[in-house]
Amino acid sequence: MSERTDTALRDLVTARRSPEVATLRLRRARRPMPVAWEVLVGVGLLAVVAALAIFAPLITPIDPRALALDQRLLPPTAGHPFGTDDLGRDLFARVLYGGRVSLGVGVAAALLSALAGATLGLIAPVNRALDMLIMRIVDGMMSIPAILLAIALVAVAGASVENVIIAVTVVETPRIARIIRAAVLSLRERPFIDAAVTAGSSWPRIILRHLLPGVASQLIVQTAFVCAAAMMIEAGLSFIGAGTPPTTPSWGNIMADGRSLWQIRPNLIFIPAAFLSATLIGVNLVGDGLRKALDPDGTRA
Amino acid sequence: MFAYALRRLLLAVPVLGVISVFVFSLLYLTPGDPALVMAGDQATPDDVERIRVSLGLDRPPLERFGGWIWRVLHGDLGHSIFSGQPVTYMIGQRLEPTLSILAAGVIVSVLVGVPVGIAAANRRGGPIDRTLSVAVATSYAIPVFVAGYALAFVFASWLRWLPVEGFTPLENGVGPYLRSLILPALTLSVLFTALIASVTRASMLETLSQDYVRTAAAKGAGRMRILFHHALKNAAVPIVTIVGGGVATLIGGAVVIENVFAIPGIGTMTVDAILHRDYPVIQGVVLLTSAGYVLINLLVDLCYVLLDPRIRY
Repeated sequence: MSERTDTALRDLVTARRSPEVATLRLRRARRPMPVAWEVLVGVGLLAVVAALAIFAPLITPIDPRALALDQRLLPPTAGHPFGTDDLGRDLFARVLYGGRVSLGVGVAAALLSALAGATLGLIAPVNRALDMLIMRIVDGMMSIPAILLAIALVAVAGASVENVIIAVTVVETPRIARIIRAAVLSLRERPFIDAAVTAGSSWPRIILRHLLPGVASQLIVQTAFVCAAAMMIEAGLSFIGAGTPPTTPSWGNIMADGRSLWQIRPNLIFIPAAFLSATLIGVNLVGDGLRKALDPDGTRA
Repeated sequence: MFAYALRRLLLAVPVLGVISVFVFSLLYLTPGDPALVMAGDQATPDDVERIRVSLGLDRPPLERFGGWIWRVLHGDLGHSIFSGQPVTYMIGQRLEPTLSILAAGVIVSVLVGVPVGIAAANRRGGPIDRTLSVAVATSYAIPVFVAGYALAFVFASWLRWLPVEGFTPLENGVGPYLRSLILPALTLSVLFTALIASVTRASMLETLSQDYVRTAAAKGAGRMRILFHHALKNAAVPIVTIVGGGVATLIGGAVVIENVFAIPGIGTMTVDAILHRDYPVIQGVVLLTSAGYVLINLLVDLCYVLLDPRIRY
């Protein structure tokens, strides 16, 4: 809130010659930020899932990798609330620890894509030739179906959590870059940018002080959606055997382990799936809520 | 129209160029020596050398790229390291199941999604509209293979109406062919129907707020005539766009769910290729599916002109 007011005041000072922009900014700043119910529900869901993942060692004493061949494929019981898999590993412990990997991949890939995508999207419009080059590469990358692009990257680079994060980042960066570039192009026509140019600001200063704050709200919303997409891609990659290595439990991985047994023990697939879906719903609710709060008129994509 | 088609075709060239450079350079992303990685643990130095030569890794990258592009343009995607068959032949063998699922998935999604979207727009905030918004949110939160297992659990395992897995080619009869397509196509359309319905709804709402719709109502046109005769055609461009754009998601979905239903298509072939580190096959699949996607969107762009004569290029 205070940061918004600061931006508004700064604009008032820098864009004095454009009273229209200044009043517009002030009105936006005075309006209290509505907290949509979606955000509350979403944050609640995410808090529960994150707490279960973070405090996994405190919640269950069982090692998610411990084999117990005399306790294979047990249905849910008091000792194993979610049952056990075909190697006798406790599904409850695996789902909790698996959350660490899935959430970690989602957050890491989202932050990396936001950083890379915002950099490309902010830099591209500076120069026409650069813009051409970057946007053609973005077009090309976006023409490769996302999961196939990720499969190809992980297949050649080797299955590891780091490579899954890198693959998802490569997939999602062009999407963010395109959205940020479009926002920058429309922002650039606004008078306060002319004012900054006239005042002799350098390009790096204009990008960081004027354009970045202008696209920040869209960047935050997109980062949330990329986080959801990243967890979805991780699950898909692990499911077909091109993701997180089998020794590390992740939600996608646990479901992949349960594949051959889904008719006998559907819990092996549907319980981790429920955790993944709850998380995705949470992230999407937060993203949608933020989008509505930051752009109540729905004027931007 | 012709000039536009030509210009649009030229725009696709740099996109295809970027795709091919990416697909080509995949091999260089391998940590260490790709030939050594591909040959596996039990390979003799002769095997490694043979793979190195067959991949052309003994020559400089630029020369290799030139030769590779030249062969790709002549329809030669190289040979599988594992089976030795030409990649184009392998893909051709697996094309029928994958294309069948994709086509069936698109048809089901459009046939369900468009009417639902129209109904939702017709009564904004009504029961169908509210159900749709929940369905859209849910469809974004369910991985496609989980949807596949859920459908298989209900219709194959529990009700026993449909085969659990497998694919029956068309030459073995239309009935069995369609039966084996139902579950995979339904799974794909779970992903896609909600998206099409929500785009249809938004586009219809936009169109229904236009003046000419009020004029049509004022001169006594019935609601059905307004929706289907006046509004739908003008609302069609965004719907066609999302069908074209969504094909990428559908291709990805097909690759994954072929593994749920054990369908011998491109997706299961890709997974085998990953297991064997069969890079030429992976490269071929990525290149061809991407090119197919570019082509479909080219056709979609050309469709706009047919749908909306106001669009002039």
